[in-house]
Amino acid sequence: MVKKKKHRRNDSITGFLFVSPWIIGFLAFTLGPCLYTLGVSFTKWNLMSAPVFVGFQNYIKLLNNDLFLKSLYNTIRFAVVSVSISMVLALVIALLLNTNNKIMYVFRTIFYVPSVVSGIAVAIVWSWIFSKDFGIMNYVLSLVGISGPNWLGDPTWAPWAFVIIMSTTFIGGPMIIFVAGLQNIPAHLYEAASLDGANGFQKLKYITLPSLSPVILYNLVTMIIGAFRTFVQASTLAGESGNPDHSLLFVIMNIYNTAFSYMNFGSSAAMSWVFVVLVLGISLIVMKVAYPHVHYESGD
Amino acid sequence: MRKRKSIVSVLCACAMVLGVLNCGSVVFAEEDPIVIRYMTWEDGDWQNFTQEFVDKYMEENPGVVIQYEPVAGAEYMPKLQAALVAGNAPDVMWVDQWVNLFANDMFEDIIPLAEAAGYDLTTHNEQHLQMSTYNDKLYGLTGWAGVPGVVFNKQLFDEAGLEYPEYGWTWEQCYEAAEKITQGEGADKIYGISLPNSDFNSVENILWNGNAYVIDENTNYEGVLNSDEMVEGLDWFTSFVKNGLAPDPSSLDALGGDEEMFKQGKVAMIIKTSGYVASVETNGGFDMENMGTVCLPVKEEGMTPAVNTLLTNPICISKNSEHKEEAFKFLAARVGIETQTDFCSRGWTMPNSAEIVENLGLMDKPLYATYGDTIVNTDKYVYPKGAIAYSPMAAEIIDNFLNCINKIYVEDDVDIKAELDKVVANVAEAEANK
Repeated sequence: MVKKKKHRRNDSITGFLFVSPWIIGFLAFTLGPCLYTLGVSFTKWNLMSAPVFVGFQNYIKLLNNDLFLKSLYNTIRFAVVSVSISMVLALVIALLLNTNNKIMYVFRTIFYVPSVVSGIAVAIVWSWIFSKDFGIMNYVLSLVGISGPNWLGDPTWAPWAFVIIMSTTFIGGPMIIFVAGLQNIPAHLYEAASLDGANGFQKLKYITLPSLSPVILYNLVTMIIGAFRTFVQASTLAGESGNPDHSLLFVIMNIYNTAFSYMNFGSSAAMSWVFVVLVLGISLIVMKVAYPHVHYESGD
Repeated sequence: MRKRKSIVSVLCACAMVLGVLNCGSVVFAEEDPIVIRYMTWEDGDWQNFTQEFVDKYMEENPGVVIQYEPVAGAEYMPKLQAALVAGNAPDVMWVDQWVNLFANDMFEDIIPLAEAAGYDLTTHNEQHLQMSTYNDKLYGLTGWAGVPGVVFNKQLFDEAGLEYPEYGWTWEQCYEAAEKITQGEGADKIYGISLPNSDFNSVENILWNGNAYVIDENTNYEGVLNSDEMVEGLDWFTSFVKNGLAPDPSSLDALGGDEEMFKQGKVAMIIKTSGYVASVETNGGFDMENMGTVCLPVKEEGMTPAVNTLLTNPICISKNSEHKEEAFKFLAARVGIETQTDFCSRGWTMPNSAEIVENLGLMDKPLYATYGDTIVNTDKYVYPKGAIAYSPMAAEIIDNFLNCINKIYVEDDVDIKAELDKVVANVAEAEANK
């Protein structure tokens, strides 16, 4: 009995030693800096002089910080709209591509390719498409008698142009995951449904979607987090300030600017923590709400 | 067996941790050389030039190793700021957003080092020395100057029956020229002018010529940035885009950018430094006989043109450098006449001293003389203080001011004064929170 316990303890030590490089890295480069940022968020600090403790002042000031509130609004609006559109589009395309026909491999690749194209190239191509004077978008609109807006120059339209860009260009990732999920649904379920006389819509409603629900939840949560982390594409297209009129300024961009351009590290750290709590809260709510509707094979 | 497994796991863990800590490269030398770390954000030709300069310097100075560390543009300042705070900044470094760093005394004062080395600082450009001075300490030296001017397409001027612009030309003449040259629609449209949008230094310099300043001599922005002159200046500046004489900034990238548009004959005037002239001369794509340059226009006839020669950056020495004298020697070599002459002979930028401009014969080359004139004949120009070079609130001013210009472009009947007041209020609020 004692020998068995000793063996188990040795096993545990061996395991911990094997993962220790990761744990050390995590503590030193992730958890440590996170906790440090929490401390910084209670200070007034420009990086160059000693930080001054200001209590919750940075957090309170955020409530009246128009730019932060605007960036928060931009981010939430973008996350809600873009994730909704991307989810539906990715699922529809995955359903269409879910056959083991050789030509479908080509289509899957075609739909996936934009996801791996450089963000700068994507931004340039879309700036052509959305050009006010000669872009394809406004040309198409002009064919039906509509005078197209200044998509990327007008703060009213720029966020929607950005949603279109992100929702159509980067759906390759979730689409591939949906396709993989669809391929794992046992064929006998469809065969049994066919024997029972179920039509296509009924198969989708009673077999495909429930079987795919864990994948849908996974994609939903990762896409929400991804949308909240939007930075590179927006700053490439709209500059670090997210112009026009900060309509494309997202929270992460604001955090970066506040720290490294305005040298206000305390405020930037406070923004980061508010944002972390917000994203964590939204993710937990989504999981809590969605979990009862998620069907796992074990029957849970 | 289990014991062996544990030993293996311990060894693996140690190897990985050592790998992370990069402890594998220990060099034993008989006599340690003096190592000077030099960090810049250069790339391309500039980086190649510096590498050659560093190699030559090490050849001429045995016992000194220059560790050249170029870092990509956007990552440069965050990395440098972190290094400065952590106390492991490079010995010699290029610095951007320097006003706050100077205000916090983050670099070594150059004056005592120059005095100890017998280095004559009076050979340096006065405006550049002033830019790098804070609380009577000189924190850096510059290795070149950057001056915005107007590059124009002579052929398009000829076709419109216009005379070429000359020193002292006015805002009205500039607008009329743009109006006469602009023609066509859509992708085939030829624009009279393309104005800078994100290049704040150039925007500010254009407005100076209407007595519209962003900051005053004491770096105040309240009552300056939102003055009546600025309202008039912005009204004129934005009228080009609003009236279709200049491409909309949001379409500029799609059109290939102003430099490419100029080469294709799609825009008659662009605001550029001498570096653009040299790049077209070197890389081709435009008939140089058709190119002309002129200083920026002034609001009214008889006004003295204002220029900004500070499209450059100070090169500073770390306070924590263990070899400050050697670091200064290297810095002096980099910004000195010999290297600067070699550097500026490539055409990438203007020298910061009249002596080098004349040595390089730039005043005999009409395209470059426009720019060189601002360095040589300083009595013909005025040199106001630029926000980037002097204001501790530069980042906030730039963000809000450029946003304001964009708003004027987009919204009809916008109240420019009210928008400028908002800019001032936003910057003041940010300053209060700093």
